[in-house]
Amino acid sequence: MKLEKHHKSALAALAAAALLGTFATIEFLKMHQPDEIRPSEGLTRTGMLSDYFDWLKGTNGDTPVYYYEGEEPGATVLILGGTHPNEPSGAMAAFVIAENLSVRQGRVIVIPQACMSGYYHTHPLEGQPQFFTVEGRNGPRRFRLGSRAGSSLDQWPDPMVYLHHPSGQRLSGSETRNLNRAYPGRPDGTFTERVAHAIVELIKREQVTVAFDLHEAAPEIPIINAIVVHEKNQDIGAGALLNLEMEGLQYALEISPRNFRGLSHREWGDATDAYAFLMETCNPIQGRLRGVTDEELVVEGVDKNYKTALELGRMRITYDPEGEPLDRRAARHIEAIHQVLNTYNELHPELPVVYEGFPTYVDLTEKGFKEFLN
Amino acid sequence: MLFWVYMLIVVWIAVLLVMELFGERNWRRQVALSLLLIPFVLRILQLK
Amino acid sequence: MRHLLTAFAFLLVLGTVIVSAQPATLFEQPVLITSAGQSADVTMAGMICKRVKVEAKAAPTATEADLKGFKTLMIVPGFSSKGLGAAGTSREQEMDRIRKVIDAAKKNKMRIMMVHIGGKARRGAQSDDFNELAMVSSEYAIVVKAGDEDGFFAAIAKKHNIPLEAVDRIPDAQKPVEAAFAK
Repeated sequence: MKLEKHHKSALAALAAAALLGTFATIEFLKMHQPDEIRPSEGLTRTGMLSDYFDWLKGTNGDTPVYYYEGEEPGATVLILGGTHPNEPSGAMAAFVIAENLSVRQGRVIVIPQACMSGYYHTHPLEGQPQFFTVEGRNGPRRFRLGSRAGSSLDQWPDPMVYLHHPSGQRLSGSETRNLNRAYPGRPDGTFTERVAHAIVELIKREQVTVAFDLHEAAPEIPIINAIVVHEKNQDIGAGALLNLEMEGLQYALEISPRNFRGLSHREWGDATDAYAFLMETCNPIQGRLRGVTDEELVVEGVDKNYKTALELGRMRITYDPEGEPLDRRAARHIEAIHQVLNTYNELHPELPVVYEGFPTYVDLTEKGFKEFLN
Repeated sequence: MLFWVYMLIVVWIAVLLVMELFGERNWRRQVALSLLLIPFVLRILQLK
Repeated sequence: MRHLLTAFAFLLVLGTVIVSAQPATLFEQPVLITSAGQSADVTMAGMICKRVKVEAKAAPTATEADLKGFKTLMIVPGFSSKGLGAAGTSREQEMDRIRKVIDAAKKNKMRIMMVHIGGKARRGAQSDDFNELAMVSSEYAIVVKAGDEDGFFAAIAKKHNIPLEAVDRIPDAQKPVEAAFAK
């Protein structure tokens, strides 16, 4: 068959597209490489989330779980980072804790990357980098910057309207892949609901006493620098806030709204005995006003658009004009966890958790990850 | 079930794009069509 | 000479009452703490009272019936749409509730104080009607300075002759709260 000119150009265009697609695929597949974690000597054992729900084994929803167990019995604490992989301070706080922690009494369970599926891709149309690098004790450490939601390779298609189980609450269809709208989850639900179910199973089986879910939000979102508490642990939250204020750290206390379902601070508190806390820090890469979304913005948090917006004063923005560096945001999370646990111990001396290795806010802010990542 | 329905739709659109690509005489439009094909092929191959 | 000394003592006491931001007389316990606007600050105020060992109960959605048995009403104003949602109430219903509680407290001869610790976040168009109502209904007020940068509370305090204690940070409110209550 004789190829006409336009057939040849079509083949050439197809070949070029195949080449581009191959390069793109190589880049995309780099995000399938797991991030390295170098746990402290205080680690007693490692597990996987699928230990609590077998279906997850071998899927992109499975994620490592790190256990730090004291010699004496006490409270069990769960620290969840990476529920939204485009909110890096939560995962980084969890990594720092996991690489420095030792527990004397009670247990601390750390899941640094709760929504592992979200780490396999970036959020479409956000133009964000796939990775960021920070300095550790022994050289640079590279971490993935994923998407807010799980990958659509794991759960597709999205419905037009997402109906939360069991409340029937309606949300935008894309929220169906948002782990923090999927709780309490169910074993026969969507991929994301099954991941949520596994986490709730962990909380129940391990009899978690205090559970933390670490997040970030854009500078223009009112929930910035807030601690959201389930109503049963509002006293602990209030006490922690007072302690944090004395350390010079301002937070807002928010009580979990009963009619907003699917979120960790609501559903963990309702479905389990755990005291549920969700914490937010300020993340410029999520903001709508931001400029170039590069690795520097992720790590240093300096954005001149937000600085201008702050100066104009026409909208409510929480943003430090000098920047919102990632180590400082992680330090906020760690200090807040520390003060919540201090207050918990104060109010529950019969079942405390005693630990070492948390860097102070000042230390992590001044010395950076270099001193605290192995 | 819905996954396979959507996959069928994706395959069908990819086939239409290829047919359009080979029927098109303007090379600029051919380039555009071939670029458009990339995400569909990546989804069929479950790479993205 | 005696008259002079008496006059001097009187002026000294008067001066102390005028100059000090302390309430003229100490409040009594127990305290019912309620919100005006449903922000979570009422929980913070409850923790402050707990830390300084003032007997208090936090009841964000208290009604007139809940006042029984309490000697002092502490109002913690500040609007929160999340809080209203959690309480299942509307802004108008919340304003109605707090008005009724204030009226009932006055009728029961309870003393009323205000504690505003939400800072800037609990000021502005949505909060200020709650803030003003709480302030004018009170005999004593404690505010975190960040919530009064524009002198909103200071102006009301001056107009209505209400002692106002401004503190730098939320934990600094513990001292004036402790000092405001009879032991």
